[in-house]
This record gives sequence, structure tokens and C-alpha cells, in this order.
Amino acid sequence: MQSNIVLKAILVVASGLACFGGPTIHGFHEAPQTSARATEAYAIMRRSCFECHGPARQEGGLRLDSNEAIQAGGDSGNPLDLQDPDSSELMRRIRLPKGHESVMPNRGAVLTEQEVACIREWMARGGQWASHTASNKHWAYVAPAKQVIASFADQPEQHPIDFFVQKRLSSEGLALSGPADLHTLARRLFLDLIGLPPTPREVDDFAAEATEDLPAAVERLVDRLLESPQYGEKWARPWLDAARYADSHGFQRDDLHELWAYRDWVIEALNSDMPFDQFSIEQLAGDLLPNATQSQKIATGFNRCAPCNVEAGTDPEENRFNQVVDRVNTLGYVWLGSTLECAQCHDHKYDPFKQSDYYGLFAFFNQSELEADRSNPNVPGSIRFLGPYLNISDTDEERERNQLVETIGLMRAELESALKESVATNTANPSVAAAIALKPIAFDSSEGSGHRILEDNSILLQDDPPDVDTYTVTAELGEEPIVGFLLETLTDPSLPGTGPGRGDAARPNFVLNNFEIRRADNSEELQAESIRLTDARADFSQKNFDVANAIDGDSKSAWAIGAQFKRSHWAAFRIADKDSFTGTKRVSFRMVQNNGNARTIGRFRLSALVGDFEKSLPSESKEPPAIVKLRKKLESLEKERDKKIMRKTLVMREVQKPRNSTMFSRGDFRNPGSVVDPSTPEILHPFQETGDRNRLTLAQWLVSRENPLVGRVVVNRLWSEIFGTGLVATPEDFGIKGDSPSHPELLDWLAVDFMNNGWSQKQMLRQILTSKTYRQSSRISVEARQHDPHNRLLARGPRFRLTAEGIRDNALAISGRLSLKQFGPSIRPPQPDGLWKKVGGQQYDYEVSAGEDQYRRGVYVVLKRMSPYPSFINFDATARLACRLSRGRSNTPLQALNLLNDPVFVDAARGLVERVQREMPASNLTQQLEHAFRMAIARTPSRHERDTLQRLYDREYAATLTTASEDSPAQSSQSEKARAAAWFAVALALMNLDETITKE
Amino acid sequence: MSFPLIEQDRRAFIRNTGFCLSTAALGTLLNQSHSPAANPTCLNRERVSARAKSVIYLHMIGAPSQLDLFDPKPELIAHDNEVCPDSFLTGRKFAFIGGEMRLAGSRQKFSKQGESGHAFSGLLPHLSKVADELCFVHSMHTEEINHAPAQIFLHTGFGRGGRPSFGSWATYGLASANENLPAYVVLQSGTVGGAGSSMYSSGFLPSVYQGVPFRSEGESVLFLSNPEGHSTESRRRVLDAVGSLNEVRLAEVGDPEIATRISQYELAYRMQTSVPELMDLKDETSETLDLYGAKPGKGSFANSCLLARRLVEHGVRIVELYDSDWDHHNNLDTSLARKCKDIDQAAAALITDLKRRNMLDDTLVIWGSEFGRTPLAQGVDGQGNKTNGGRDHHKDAFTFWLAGGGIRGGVSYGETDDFGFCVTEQPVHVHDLNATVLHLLGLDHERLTFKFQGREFRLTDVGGNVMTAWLK
Repeated sequence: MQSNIVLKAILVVASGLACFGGPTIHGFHEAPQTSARATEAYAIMRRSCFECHGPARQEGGLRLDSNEAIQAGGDSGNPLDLQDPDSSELMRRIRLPKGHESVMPNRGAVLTEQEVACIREWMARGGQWASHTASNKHWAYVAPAKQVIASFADQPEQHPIDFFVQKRLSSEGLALSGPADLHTLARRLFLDLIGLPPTPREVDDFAAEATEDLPAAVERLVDRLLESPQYGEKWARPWLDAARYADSHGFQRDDLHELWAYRDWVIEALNSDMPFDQFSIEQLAGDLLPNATQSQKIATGFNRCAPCNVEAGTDPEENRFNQVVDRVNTLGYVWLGSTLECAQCHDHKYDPFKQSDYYGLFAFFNQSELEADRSNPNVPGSIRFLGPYLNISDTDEERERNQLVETIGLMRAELESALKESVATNTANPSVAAAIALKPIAFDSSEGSGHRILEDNSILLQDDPPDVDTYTVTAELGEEPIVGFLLETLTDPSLPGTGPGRGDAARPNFVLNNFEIRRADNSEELQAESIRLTDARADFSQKNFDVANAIDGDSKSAWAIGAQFKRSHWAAFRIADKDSFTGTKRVSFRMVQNNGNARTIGRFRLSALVGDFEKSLPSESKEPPAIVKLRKKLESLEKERDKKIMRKTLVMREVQKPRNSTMFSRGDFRNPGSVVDPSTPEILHPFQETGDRNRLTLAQWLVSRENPLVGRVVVNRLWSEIFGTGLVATPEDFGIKGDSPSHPELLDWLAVDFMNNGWSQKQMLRQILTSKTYRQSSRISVEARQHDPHNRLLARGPRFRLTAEGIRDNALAISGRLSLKQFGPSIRPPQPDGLWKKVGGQQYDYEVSAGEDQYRRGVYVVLKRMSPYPSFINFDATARLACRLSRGRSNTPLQALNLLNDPVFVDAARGLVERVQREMPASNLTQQLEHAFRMAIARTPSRHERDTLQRLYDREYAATLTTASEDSPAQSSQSEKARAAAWFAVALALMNLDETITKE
Repeated sequence: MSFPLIEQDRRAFIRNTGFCLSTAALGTLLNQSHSPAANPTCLNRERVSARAKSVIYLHMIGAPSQLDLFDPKPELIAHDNEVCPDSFLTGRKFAFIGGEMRLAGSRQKFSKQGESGHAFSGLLPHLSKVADELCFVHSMHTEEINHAPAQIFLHTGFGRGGRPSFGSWATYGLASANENLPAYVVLQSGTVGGAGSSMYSSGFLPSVYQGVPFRSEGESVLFLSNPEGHSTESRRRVLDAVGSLNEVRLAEVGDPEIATRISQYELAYRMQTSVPELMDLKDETSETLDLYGAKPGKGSFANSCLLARRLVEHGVRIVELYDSDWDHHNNLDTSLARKCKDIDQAAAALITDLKRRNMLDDTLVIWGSEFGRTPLAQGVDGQGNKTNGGRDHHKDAFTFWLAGGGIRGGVSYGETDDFGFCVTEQPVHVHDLNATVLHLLGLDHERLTFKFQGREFRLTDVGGNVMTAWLK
């Protein structure tokens, strides 16, 4: 047995708590002492009354936070009645039912019976605040200090958690429940530690060991599971919720970004049990560590998870401001358990955080690079996402890619020299027809699209494409007489699906309504009619979108190239009157594309055709077969290379030239106020000056042992993952309005223990999971349900529904389809069609991941913020638009439909059927049903349960046989069909049991 | 089902039905209020103001031009294409336009309609006929200037994601009036808006309050249909077995969540029948179909309007219709005409149909968007000259209309200046609109709160006034 889980003769515990008692906790109020009662009453009223009847506001002229003010009373006189508290106005108001128009507090939860009783007693005993009451710091801001608790000396062998829990229970006349059944306990441990169910074999092994020595068996299993690579995948989920990790920006231009390397970093850091202080420092400021490693830089992805608004027309500075705000708020929740966000606009109403504290923290985050900016400062529509990205080096992809790049380079050189040779033979006669590329002098997009002119004189459009666009290109002509013009629409790696259209990667079409040309030597010419073109040709035209439509003057008809996407095309037009351009130096092309949905051309080149029109047209057959072959090979290699993309990930990076940091009046980015330096909240431990005030020193300050909050906040979160509720039920709020700890001494003991053990989260979990408290049965007696419906006293084990990801992981594991492949880009399981289509941003085709990838764990499922994976949302996952420390656990009919009909779960049920046949081919039906049952919920079915399944099987079999005999004559195939249907029904039922999706 | 729900009904709901059940779970979620009665809403007192049982919200994604539809500005027309005086521009933010800005008068023909004589653009011949049912609010203003933040702001009272939509707040407060249908349904014509599902997300409220999209293509509700080859009878047999095994477990471990789960599976089963029936327009008369211009089997705004009436008839609380493609930065005249054609007849038919079925008094109909459009021109022609092509985003003054559900018809509220830049009379903030919507449903926006991350959140943040002038 490990020494650290046993209490030694003298136990060091945390204290420093002013033990206000849990307002929602029963019977915490024995042995009244006037000052203790006053302290408790004060805490209740500070939380529930002082907002409106305190220093800032005195609703109804009443102030309650000082004896003098209470004495003075409010508009309706003295609220207290010391002789007869029950007839006092205060008691009358706080006893009114929720929703009554005079009830106090007027907003939020009414006071509990215990709280009302506490205030009554305080009033009966004189209704005075003791002189020190008001100056008492709220418990959470007092560091958990070490104190010797003598009474532990009597029970040296007791687990510390059980000591505190039993102490509380016995004060209520209760005791711990007996241990859970061994198979239930095995499943509970598996689900808690790795988020996957045990196999029947693993359950049996554990049961055998546990029958000998339960605590030892639990310890061994805990140790084994803590070492599993799946541990980090399970425990990354809550952290990634806190970090608001997602695969897209959010908002209208909800493009995918690359940040999965950060998600992998979290999984690996948890697996290696990186101490929480280091875990924090690397994520908040890994880039600022001396000689920062690649891994430490990747860790800073934590703060790059903040949503980024790249919608055209967004003010880049407003977006940056909002991101910094998000970072400060997130820091408050995650490390301080504090709702700092209130102080963005004004001093916090309840907690001791000032607006200056807020902008002091803001200043630490104010020096990072702009993540989205305008490519042209004068064009608001030109905002685009910048990064910064870190290229990840030393990956397999990188090595393979480098190899390919080298090969491609060689091959391209070969092609070029072959081309030169062929051109040299072709252009031996200078009078031969040819296309001469025109160098653009000016380009304009009616929608302000950005562009770049490439070396080959082609124009490449950039940024987010507008729905419609009209291009105007000005160019100069050469000396030779022109017979026509050539428009080449070209592919480019930067275009969706390589183009040539800009709309979406699956169908990168364009729709060219009009192609016009005018003389442009002077501005009058530009107003004139366009020059008449005729004889339109193209290498390819889509049905009903013939190239001739581009010059018919009708702005509804057009040229398009569907479905020959992702390759270059050309159109050529003959000049109707060959003298049209005589004496003209400068021409202007106009290309109208008004189809909508960004069916506009992404890259194109204009050329003048000279000599013979026919002969000057491009023709593939002109190229010698050797060149064609070379081109094809090159193309396929390039495709391969593009698949091996350079792995990159978003990171934090500081600006070269520091920004000024200021307050912002009412939290508005347009109203900067006085200058502020980076600083930490006054109420908390002092900032140790070790040099610069930057994110790094801020992170070090956060995980300092002096910080009264961080240890408690972290162990509370671990606790709540296990027990369903934290010792403090509001994990994001340890402030005055937050929940008081159900077991204050235990919370502090754990916090100190956590820090003493090198901030090891695995050690803390080991501590919790090896307690008797954890091992209890989760059965709920009627009395327990009435007395303590939410199990705050911990007189029973935890029982609650799995998370969204947990439900899918569990189902896949049961089905035998789960892939344990780790890390890498996000994966896409099947989801209904059309969910990713929306206004704005790049349009993606949702392609289901190939092979085993679609069966990987939920932590790897792609999260597109504006259209998240629907079955996760149904089970209370969020779109990760902001930090979340706890999820709801709702119970809805959409969840039932999801588990019954979502192809993912239907497939999982089929998988379970196959698995049973595979693993127990020779067994009889009863054994097989039992095996399936054990796979789903670990335990052996009762006779009644087995009979129920058997009955379902029989009924479904019989029903299918009846219908099958109507449409299929062969008897063997009938019974086979009936068997399959019956088994599917059984598997689907098992997948849908409450117990299957619940940790028991 | 009786209206309004009183607390007793509500408890019965919580015991017996699905959609309200998670209110009971609310206590579990928060560990603060342990009885369903502690839910702050749905009490008799708070429902006193209830005028509407349901809301049909017509949201035009992209922002239609109020200046070309409902708020004509003769002065603006008189100064068409003139450079805009600086005095109108200082301190104002625009999403796209910059440099020299020119005024853009409307080219639409306006006429006064109905007894109330409100001006309507000629693009809306049908809607003009119900002019006297509508309450126009010309003085709407918001805080966000880009689509997604403004859409999220309008729905949740906050410009970034993560908070509940007004529909979620309302259903959290009211619960469903039909246990076989979700209380908050979303219908879509055209492409989904830029803010995607965050517009109808339940945010930090339990997921039972999320808006449920009823789709015109594929399954009407995600995962509604049985897997192929699995009949309704098979499903019944599976559910009987699941129910029976869950009962056993309930008796064994005593967790009330199991009882809830059992009833949710039954509700899901009923939804599998009730939703397709509801989505099927075949039992509507051809007269009704023609009134809306609806064509069964096609996804269109007209079908959505008719469907909205059917949903409300069946007790759905909030139906939100999104119609996209109203973002007319250029080609305003042609695009607006096309879009008006999409919605004019159906929106008018909705009012007419509700009225003749005596449903309009109980149904609040709202038409609007995330913001309005500028009195300034946007758009550049091929030569780089500014043209009157379109209009930019405008957050400082735009128009909504409301009808039915306790709203006074034939009313015009609020005024804007001669060019339509600014509200000059009776400004209405998004929070005011939301406060009024909740009020009409019988909910007090200051008391409809939810504790999350240490704070009592509400839809209207720290603002919102009920617009009593609009009320009957």
C-alpha cells in the first residue's frame, strides 16, 4: 500500500477556512456561537443581499453591511426585530416563496431553510455584526494553511478522504454505503480513468483479485490504467473544454484552422503526468521560456483557441480586443476559479476584483501579434486570417514531403528543357500564329477582392471570395496586329480544390456571364460600346453554359466548366472587325461574374492572339507525347505532395514593438482610458518581481504555492469529473456568489496534498480512487434521495450519464469497431448531409474519414464551431466558443433518437452483433446474449434481464420470419435474415439502456 | 393542453413528459435549487402579462434595406448621389465603405397603405394589404456591425457565442405545450446564416432548450427515421425491451434519471410519428397552399410560413424562420425585388391565415434582421467609379415589424432623421425588443435568469425596457 494514501499519526491538513458552512448542506449549524453565527449570516447576506443593500447601492434606502446602517433602517423602517425575529420585515421577505414579487433576494435563488434559520438565529442573538466580521476575507482568498489536527492520531490507517467524508456523515447520523459490486466497480474505474469500458475478461480478472484483497486490487488497476495511453485522451476532454479548443475560427468566416498539435500536446502532457505548474506555464507562456522547445511553443495553442472573427468588414482591432478579453476571462475561470469577466466593464459587484485588476491582467496578454488583419488597410473587406503558425518540423510527413519536393523539382527542370526544345522547333518561323501573354497594368475587383500578379502574367485572386464579382483588367498591346484574345482560367494551389473557380473545394466552377473588351487609350473610349467579338472557342463548355454565352451581351447566360473542375481551361474570341485595335496601345477587359456563391474565376491570364486565329489556339495535341506524359506524372506527384502538407499549428507570439496598455471605459475597445501596467489582482498573493512582467511571469505567479485558489480549483475539477459534482459545486466560481464547499477541510487537505506531491494530477486521482468513498455502491435509497438528492454528503457512490464523447467512445468500444489510433489531424465520423453549408467563409465538403479513422475517439472528432458534430451537441457538448468548466447533463428525446437512429450508433449495434458471433461462435443463444450484455455493461444479467432479451430476440425473429417468408422462398435465407434482425434488435436495445450510457 | 401553464401543470409536466423534464435536472446541473419549483419561471404571477402563446420569428439573414421597403426618405432621394456631409459620418462605423461617401436615395415607389397609411414599397404588394395588422418599429438599433456577431447579439443579447438564444430562454421559461414536439423549432429557406447554429443554441442552458431544425431536405429532424430495414413494429419491440430493462434498473438503483430516460424514449417514439405528419402539407387545402404560394415537397419560405402556422397550431412555442441572401452590397434593386418576391406573399398569407383561424391574437409574428442598411451607396462599377449599386451594413437605425400576440396593429413607432442615419425619436435597443417579446409571453426579462459561472445571466444582460406603447 502506498504510504501517501494512508494517514500517518499526525495528519497535516489545510485550514484557514472560516467555515461558513454550505448553504445547501444540511445540519452544518450545530453548536452555535454568536460570533460563528454572525460570520455565517454575514457570508449569506454578503452573497445574497449586499449587491443591492450594500456600499454600492441602497435599494429602498436600506444598507445591511454595517451595524449603524442596519440601525438607521430603510424606507420601510428597521428590517430587524430583535425581540420577535419572526415578525421582522427581513424574515418576512426572505421567507416568501420564489417568484413572489416581494421575495428577497429579488433575483436568483431564494435562501435555503438552513440559511433562513441561520439569519433568524443571528437576529435573535442581537443582530449585530462583530467588529471583525466584515474584515474577514472570503475563505477562498485565504491560502490553505497547514494545521495539525490531533484527532487523526487515533486512526492512523484511515484514508484521508474517508476520514473527512465520514466525519461529516456521522455528524448527520449517516455512514458510507457498502462497496459497489466488483464488476460495477471495474467498469467505473475503466470509465473514469480511460473513458472506455472493460472487456468481460478484464472484469473477471479484477473480480478475482478483488475477492482476495479489494484495496490492493483497486490500487493495481488504478496504476495500470493511469499508465494506459488512453488515459490522456479521456482526461484531455475536460481540459479542452476549458481551453475552448476547436478546429475552426467561429463566426461567419468559420474556416478550419490547424491547432490539433496543441490537442495532441495536451494528451501527451497528461499521459506523462506533467506537473500542473509546468503544464500551466507551458500553455500560457511556453514561447517565452528560455530556449523554448517546439513542444513548449505548441503548448501556447491554449490561448490561440480563442475564437477569431474574420468576417469581411470586421475591425481587426476589435477582434484582437475581444480575444484578449477572452484570454483574461479564461485565465480567471481556469486558474483562479473566479468570474473576472464582470470587471471588464466595472469593479466586480461581489468579489474583490477591481476594474483596474482586470486591465492589469489584460496588459499581460496585450502584446501578442494580430491574428487577423486587412491585406489592404483601405479595404475593410480584405481582412484575412494570418496566424501566426508554427511550422512543425521533424514529422514523417515533412520528410516524405521534402523527398517529393526534390523529385518534383528535378522533373520540372526536365519538363522545362523539353518545352524549350519543342517551342524552339515550333517557333522557328516567326510569322507563325501565337498567343502573347498580356502583362496587366491594372486590376480592379468590383467587390474589392485582393489579388496578386504572378510572374507568368496571370492574376491570382486572394482572400475570402465575394458572392459575385466583376474584374477589370487594363493591359498594353504589342505591335503585331491582333486577331483575337485568349482567356486562360488556371488552377492554383491556393484556390479551393485548386480552382479555377473560387467557390468551394468540391466544385470549383466559375460562371462567366460577360467577357468584354474596350479600347482604353483615353477615358471616353471606356464609356463606349465594347468591341464586338465573335467565334467563341473553348477547350470545354458545360452543358447549357456554352462559351459563346460570354460574348452574347446577355448578362444572364454564361460560360462555365462543370464538372471539369480542378484543371485549367481556356476560351478564345476572334475580333469581329480585325481593324478594331489599329492604333490602340491600351485595352481594358471586363469580366462579369454575377452567378452568386462565389462562382468567380480564381486565377486567369489574358493573351493577344496574332497571326492565324485557328492556329494560334492552344491545343494539347500540339505537345509531344513525351511532354504530355511528363506533365501527367508531375501532376500526380504534386497531388501527392499536397497531401503531405507541412504540419503547422497556431501559437502565441509577441509583437516586436510593445503596445500601450490602458483601461477601457465600460469595457469598450473604442474608449481607452488611463495607462495601466501589467499587474495581478490586489486581493491575491503578491507578484514576485523576477524580471519582466510578461505572460511567463504571470504564469509563474498563477502556479505559485502562495496562490490560495489554484490548488483548490484544480483538485475540485478532478473531483467533479469523478463524483459528478465538485466539493465546490460551482467550479468556475469560488467567489462570494459561488457554492460553499461541502467538505471545506477535505478540499484544503487535497489542495495542499496536490501541491506537496509535485502538482501531480495522476497522484491526486490515485488518492481519490483508492478511497472507500469512491468504492461505494451508487444505489439510492428513498431516504437518501430525500435527504441528499445530489449526493453532496457522499453517502453513496457516483452515478451519472457519460459525456457526449464518452457515449460515442463507449459504444464504439462495445461494438469492437473502436480504433485506438492516436494523434494527428481531426477526423470526421459520418454525419447527416448538408450540415456544413452556410453563408460566408470557405465551403467545405464533409468527407467522412476513410478506414479506421472514422472510428477513432471523440477527442479527435472535428469541431467546426458554427456547425458542430450534432450528436455531441445533443449530449450537452458545446461549440467551444468560450471556456467551460462543467457541462450539463440533460435527458432529452433527441438523445433517444440519436442513440436509436444515428448511423454511427446503428453501425455500433451491428458491430456488437458481429463481435458476439466472432467471439462466441459455438455457444448457444443464452450464452451469446449474456456475453453481449456483459460487453455492454460489464455485469452479468439477472435471469429476468436475460429473459427479457431472449423474448425480444424471439419476437423479432418470429416477426421477421413471417415477413421474410412472403418475399423470399429459400428457407435458409429466411431464417438467416430473421436471425440477423433479431440480433440487431437485441444489440440496439443493449446500446440504448440507461445503464450503458451511465457510469454506475 | 391548458394555457397558461400554471405551476401545478408544470410539475405534472416535469413528472410526466419529456421536454420539460430537464428543468427538473436543472437542479442537478447546478446543485443550487433542488426542487423544480425553484425554477424561477412559469409562475402565475409572471404569466399575468402573457398575451402570446407562441412566436413566429421571420429573420431575414443578411439585412434587408429598410430604406427601400418601409422607411422612405424623400430628402435622401432629393440628395441622391451627392457627397454625404461629414457631419453625418463622424463617429460612425461602416463595415466596408470608406473614402468619399455618397448618399443613395431609394428608387422604389412608395405608397400609403391601409387605414393607418403606413408607407410600403411597391415591392411588397401582398404585405401592404395587411398593413393595419402590423406595428412598425423604425427606431431599432444594435451594437454589432458584422453579420455573425450581430446575428448572435440579436438572438442572445451578447455579440459573441456561448449564450442562449431568446427561443431557448423562452422555452426554458415556458416549457412545451405539446409533449410530442420540441418547444423551439427552426426552419430554413436558403443557406444557413453566417452564425450557424449559434443563433439557436441553448448556450449554457441544458440542451433540451436548443432550437431544433426541422429540415426540408433529408430527415425532417436529425435521426428521426428508423434505420433501413427496421420497422416501426421492430422499434416498438426494442423500446419495450429497453423500457422493461430500464424499469428493472430503476427499481434496483433508485435513480430518478432512469425514470426520465424511460419517458424520453417514449416521447422520441411519438415524435417519429408526429413530426412527419406535421411536416406533410398534404392535408392543407389548395386554397391555403395558394394563399401562401406553398408547394408541398419543396423547401421555400412559403412552405416554412405554412409549416410555422401548423407548428404553432400544435403548441410549439417558438418557430424561427431564417431566409437568407438579403445582404445587398450591390445590385440592390434587382436582388431586393427578387427577395421580396420570395417572402411577400407568404408573410402576408401567414398574417391572414392566422387571423382567420383566430390564432393571431395568441401568436406573435416578428419580422426583422440583424441590422439595417446605410443611406450611403456602396458598389463599384467596372471602371472603379462608385455607383448606387447597393448599401452597406447599418446598425444605428433599422426597421422591424410585429403583429398579433398582444401587439397593436396599424402603429408606427420611432423615427429616424431625414436621411435615415440615426434614430431621432423613441429608440429601441435589441434588449428592448427581447424584453418585450418575453413580456408578451408572460415572462419578466429581469427575473428569467440562470446562474452560470457565478452570475445570474439573463437575455437582456443589464438592459431592456418593455415597450408598452406597442401593446394592446
